[in-house]
Amino acid sequence: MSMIDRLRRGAAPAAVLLFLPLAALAQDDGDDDLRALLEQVGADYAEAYISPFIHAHGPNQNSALYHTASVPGTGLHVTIGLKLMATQLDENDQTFRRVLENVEVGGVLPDDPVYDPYREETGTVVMSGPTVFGDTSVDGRVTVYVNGLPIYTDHTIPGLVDTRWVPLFAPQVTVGSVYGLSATLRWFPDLDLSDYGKSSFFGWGLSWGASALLPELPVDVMIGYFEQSLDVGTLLGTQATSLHLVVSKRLHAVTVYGGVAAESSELDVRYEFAGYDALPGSAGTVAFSVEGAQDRRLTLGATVGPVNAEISHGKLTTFGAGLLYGF
Amino acid sequence: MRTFRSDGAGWAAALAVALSLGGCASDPVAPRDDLPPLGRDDVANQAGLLASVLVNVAPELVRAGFEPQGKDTYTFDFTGEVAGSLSLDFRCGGPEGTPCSHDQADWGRIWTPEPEGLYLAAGTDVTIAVDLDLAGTIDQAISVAVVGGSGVLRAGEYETNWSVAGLVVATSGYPAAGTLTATNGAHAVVVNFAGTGTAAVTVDDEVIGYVDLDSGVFTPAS
Repeated sequence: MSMIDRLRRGAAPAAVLLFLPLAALAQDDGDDDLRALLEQVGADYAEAYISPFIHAHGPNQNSALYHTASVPGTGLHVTIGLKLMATQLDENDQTFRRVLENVEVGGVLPDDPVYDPYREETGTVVMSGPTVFGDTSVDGRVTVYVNGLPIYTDHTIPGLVDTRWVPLFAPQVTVGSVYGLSATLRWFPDLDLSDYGKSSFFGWGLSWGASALLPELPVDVMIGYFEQSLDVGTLLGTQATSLHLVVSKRLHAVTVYGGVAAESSELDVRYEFAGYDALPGSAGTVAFSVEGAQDRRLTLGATVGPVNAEISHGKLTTFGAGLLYGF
Repeated sequence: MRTFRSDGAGWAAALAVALSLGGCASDPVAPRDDLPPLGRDDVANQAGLLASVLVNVAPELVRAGFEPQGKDTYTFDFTGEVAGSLSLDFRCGGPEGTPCSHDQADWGRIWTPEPEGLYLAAGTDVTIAVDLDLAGTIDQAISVAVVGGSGVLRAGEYETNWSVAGLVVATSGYPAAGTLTATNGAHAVVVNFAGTGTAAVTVDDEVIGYVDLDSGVFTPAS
């Protein structure tokens, strides 16, 4: 492999890491990346397997959107920032168990005569094992039960990255302001990842500071809206929105801020099934969408000079930090 | 007039809240579905399998088909559809008596020395495990043992407790008498041995079906 090829192959995964938590997602060894794993299982298994990522990506994207509620009244103000967010998962999210009841097991069992006596039976399918952030050395398992006894079981896929932290990086720029209104963009150039296709990241938001209208308020107050989309080729697509109310107070060199937000997120997954899991609906193209579990949050943080740090708590707890440069 | 001191107290409180939030763990979000409870016939099906295991295992107390492990203990290795190892202990003078040879003992015990000691191949890559601990009196004159005991059946993620009482076993044939009770959740089913290859399965003394003691298959009563 030439040096140029090496650089090309290395640059894309490195760029993906800027906004994807799945470090191994960018691996290119054929068997251990996310798509290669998902292609071995059906939709029901895949949805449970990546559920921690489904529910963590929204809180991550909707974090570190602001570092103060102070929005200048009118004038040119630009702030460039690099934001880092990380959601800490509950330890139980490293494994899962999904149960499908009253399944016609004939559509699940392998084409082996030993299972012929069961093909007309109705039973229970139990899928369990590591999630995408679970043990990478342990395979999951699908077991079919009929009349209280297991009649078939098969190994599935291991975890992808053994971690309880789901991080996200995002570059962002804020430009303002007109009568207390400013605009923020999160963006990264489109990348053509050979194994995933075209990947992109874009977000925009508007914030309005009430201080321009109500200068006598003892604290700065801001309301804002933000929406983002992040696509990783044809495999993953995410959307996240946040409507937030923020107050802040500058105390000498420290600006302390807090906010509440109503938010939503959604993850779309699409891939071609190519595995050995014969669960219903697993043939051909697998596609599903899942809404994130978190719909509101409380945020508290502080900004000191060019750095801010915050903690948000909703259904999940997310930590955020930013490195800021303004002029 | 507000002072920095009062403001500071307020913000200190806010920071305290922030720190307390730091201890707020995320809620779990990955699915963790409960196993559906077994139905009565499901437990009966498991009981049938257990009954067929007991028909194979319990007679070893009087069959003497085992191998000496030490001076007074023995092992028996099952192969085939039932696989695994059993330990046996024989006493003269009852359970508190002295260890003695199997052909003189009036009391014996047979158990799985390791957890999930016996395995039943139930399909491709599927195993059902049985733990057991049986003990009882032995009548050497007629080569008959009357045993009781208990154990656990592990069928995948389901665990069913079971006990057996008054099980009369000889060197061959089916248990002449005795009951096996399997309990899972709200259901307790009883297999009634009667010396034939078919045993009635009852719940609250009502017959709900029959077990073929050779295959372990439960057939609901019509």
